[in-house]
Amino acid sequence: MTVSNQELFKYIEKRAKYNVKDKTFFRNTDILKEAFLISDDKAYEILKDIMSRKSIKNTKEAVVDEYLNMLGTGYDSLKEQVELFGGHKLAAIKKEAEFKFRKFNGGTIIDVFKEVYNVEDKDMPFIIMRYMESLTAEEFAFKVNVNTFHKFLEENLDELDKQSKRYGL
Amino acid sequence: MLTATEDRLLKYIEGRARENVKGKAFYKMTNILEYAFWMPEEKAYEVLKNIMARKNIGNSKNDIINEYIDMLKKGYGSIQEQVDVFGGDKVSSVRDTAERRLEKYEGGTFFDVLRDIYKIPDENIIELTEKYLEFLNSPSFIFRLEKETFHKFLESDLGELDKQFDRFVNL
Repeated sequence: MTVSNQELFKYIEKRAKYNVKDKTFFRNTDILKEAFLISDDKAYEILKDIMSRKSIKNTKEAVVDEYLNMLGTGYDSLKEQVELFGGHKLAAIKKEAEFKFRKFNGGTIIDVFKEVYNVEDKDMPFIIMRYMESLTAEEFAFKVNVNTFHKFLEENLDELDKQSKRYGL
Repeated sequence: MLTATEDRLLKYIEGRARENVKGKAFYKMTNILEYAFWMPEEKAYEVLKNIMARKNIGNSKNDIINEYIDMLKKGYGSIQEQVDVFGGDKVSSVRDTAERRLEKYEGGTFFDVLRDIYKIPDENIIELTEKYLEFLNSPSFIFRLEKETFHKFLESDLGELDKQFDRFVNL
């Protein structure tokens, strides 16, 4: 896989697992539908394909992992799968942030959140606390910057979705 | 010429003095000196007499404080003694204690630092963090939360400095 394909794959993996987290399913096709946002028909087709090749466990994890495997080996287009998830949100957010930073005249982190990321006042304490909880360091030196913030969004899909909404993407 | 330390301490005295009279109104000029510099009435009279004999100054809080700061700068009184009157050099004390405690720090989040090193109670952490973040400025999105800027922040906020000093005293 190329680097950018690897990136797409990781995103798909994260998103698929996130989509089925804390949920229970009765049918294996439901797992696929929920995890990958695919149609009923497609889920059946994939499951038939899996069954004909190997026997896998009946768990969420096993079903999701198997289809991820298939995507990883070219069963279907990674790009299309990402489109099913509403596109590569982080890339879109990065682009929008870059654009908005051009008009930013400096200030505090709170100004950055307000003016560049459109964070509403009422959400400010929560996002600050959560973002800062995500930063660790060996000594008293924490890097609060655009890279670590985007990493934070990448690792927390609910925050990624919220940011995507703030930008109207 | 003042040494770097004297210069810093003089700024500290100035900040402290202004804080001491902030929001207060005074009838007598000696009261301003008493409140701002925690000096006894007698000394306040003496200082005021000295000022009057030399020059005409306005009678606002700021005029009096500026004049006495200027006198300290020129050696009228001991800068160190005035700092001691204010309970000592809290900035250095906090810095030293934090430095010592940070040696034993094994890593974690910023909130771990506040909790474990600075002994800040959970209920004050959000408020303090927001104040600290408001203190840090950047032309872009690059901030470093680290001990130097944190101690600078405490130096700039005497209320928080006092609280931190007390937390370390009560360890």
